[in-house]
Amino acid sequence: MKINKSNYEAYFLDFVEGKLTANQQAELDLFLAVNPDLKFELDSFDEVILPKEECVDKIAKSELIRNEETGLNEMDYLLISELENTLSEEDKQSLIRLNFESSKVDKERAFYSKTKLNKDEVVLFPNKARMIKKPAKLIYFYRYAASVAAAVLALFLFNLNFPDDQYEPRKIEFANSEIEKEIPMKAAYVIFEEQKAKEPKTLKKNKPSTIIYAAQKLEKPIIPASFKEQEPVIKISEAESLAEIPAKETPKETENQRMEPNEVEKQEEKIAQVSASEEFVPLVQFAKNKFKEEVLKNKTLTETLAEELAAATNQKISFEAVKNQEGKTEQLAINIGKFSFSRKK
Amino acid sequence: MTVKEYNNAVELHSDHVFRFILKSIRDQEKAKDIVQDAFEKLWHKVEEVDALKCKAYLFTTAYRRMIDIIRREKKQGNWNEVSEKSYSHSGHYSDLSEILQSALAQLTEVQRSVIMLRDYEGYDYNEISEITNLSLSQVKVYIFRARKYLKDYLVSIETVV
Repeated sequence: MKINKSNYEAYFLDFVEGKLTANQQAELDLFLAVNPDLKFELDSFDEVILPKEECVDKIAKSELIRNEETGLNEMDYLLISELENTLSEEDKQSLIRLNFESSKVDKERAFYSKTKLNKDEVVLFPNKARMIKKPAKLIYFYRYAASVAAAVLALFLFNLNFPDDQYEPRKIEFANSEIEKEIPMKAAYVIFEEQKAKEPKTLKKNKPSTIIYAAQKLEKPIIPASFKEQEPVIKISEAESLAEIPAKETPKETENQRMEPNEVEKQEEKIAQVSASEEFVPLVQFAKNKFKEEVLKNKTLTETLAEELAAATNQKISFEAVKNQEGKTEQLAINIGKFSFSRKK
Repeated sequence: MTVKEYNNAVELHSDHVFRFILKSIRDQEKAKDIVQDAFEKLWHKVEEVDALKCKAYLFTTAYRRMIDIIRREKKQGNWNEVSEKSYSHSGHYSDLSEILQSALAQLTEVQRSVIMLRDYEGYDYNEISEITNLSLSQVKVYIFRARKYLKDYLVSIETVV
């Protein structure tokens, strides 16, 4: 069989496999000289033949062996380690060996190099300007919240009463001058507040309210001779709408309850001493004073509440009072964290 | 750190933290909220955090907040789960960057996070371990597997093209 255009592929295959005889080789050379366009086709046959040095066994091993840590095959592991710059000395030797054994290494390396993300890629945060802090307006969020809470509480407290007003006893005057003179005898009478419910509801804040005080004799009163026959009547000067009211009836004294004149004089003397040294205090006021002394530890209610509020909110809370020449508070300010409130009397 | 150092941190790191979170969570509003939260937390601890460590603090805070959100939304079924091993792609890619971003989007959250911390921010394995609360070995495994996935994705695209 001679080589021609219909059977030349078989000659080409035998050529690349090295199976041609000398005569067949001479025929092929002559054929290619006559048909130079087929020379290119013969060259392409070389590419379909695996080179002898590319050993199938070795390639299979490098692709089958798995790295214990990552579970990747040897080639992937070594190429990623190279990209990550984490190759050990042993790994470097393995990679050199793999370079000789496989022609795929370079191609794979090129692909891996493309997996690196571009660190110069820019993504702008749109709210950056809002995040910038100005020192003058430095308010921590949680402190801000605490300040608001404290402010709300303080406003509530602030609208109750002026601190200085809370413990001032009301002044009372008695219509009967003799009673007025004798009524501070605490040993003889108990003074109590009553009829408070009758106060007109339209009374303005901070104006003296109408309170009726009544006096009641103690079970065993000590009554001076000049006073004992009179009925105690008490009237509050501001209580214009209320007439004099009689105190509750006192039980009639029996003979054995009466004291001897000398004894009475001694008692009166003692009472006078007590009256001179102690201030007259109604029961309600007495209770308030006790509360202030025992519970508030002699601080004002406002001061105590402010301390508790400061402890609860972790804020600095302070009060400032502006007093007039008479020593009365004209203006009060409360500072809570960054907030400040003031109120004029 | 001082107020000035804090403000510098905003200038220097806010874009980077935002890029990291946005590419992870792929939701601009959520990403903005997470970044703002991270800076808010830094501001609360402005006196305690060292200026040199504020970047790591921001990434750690933002990453953990993001993971919380992802887990919560996954529980609620609001999260679109992407098949990890899907090489499918649609549309036309104009360049390598687009292909890579598409591949990145298909990684798991943890793989995506570690690879971004590594490539975008240049953190070493120890730093990534601290930020993500993963062990050193886990970080390495996640990075290696992510790279393998990205490479395979690129190969698959080239084969198709």
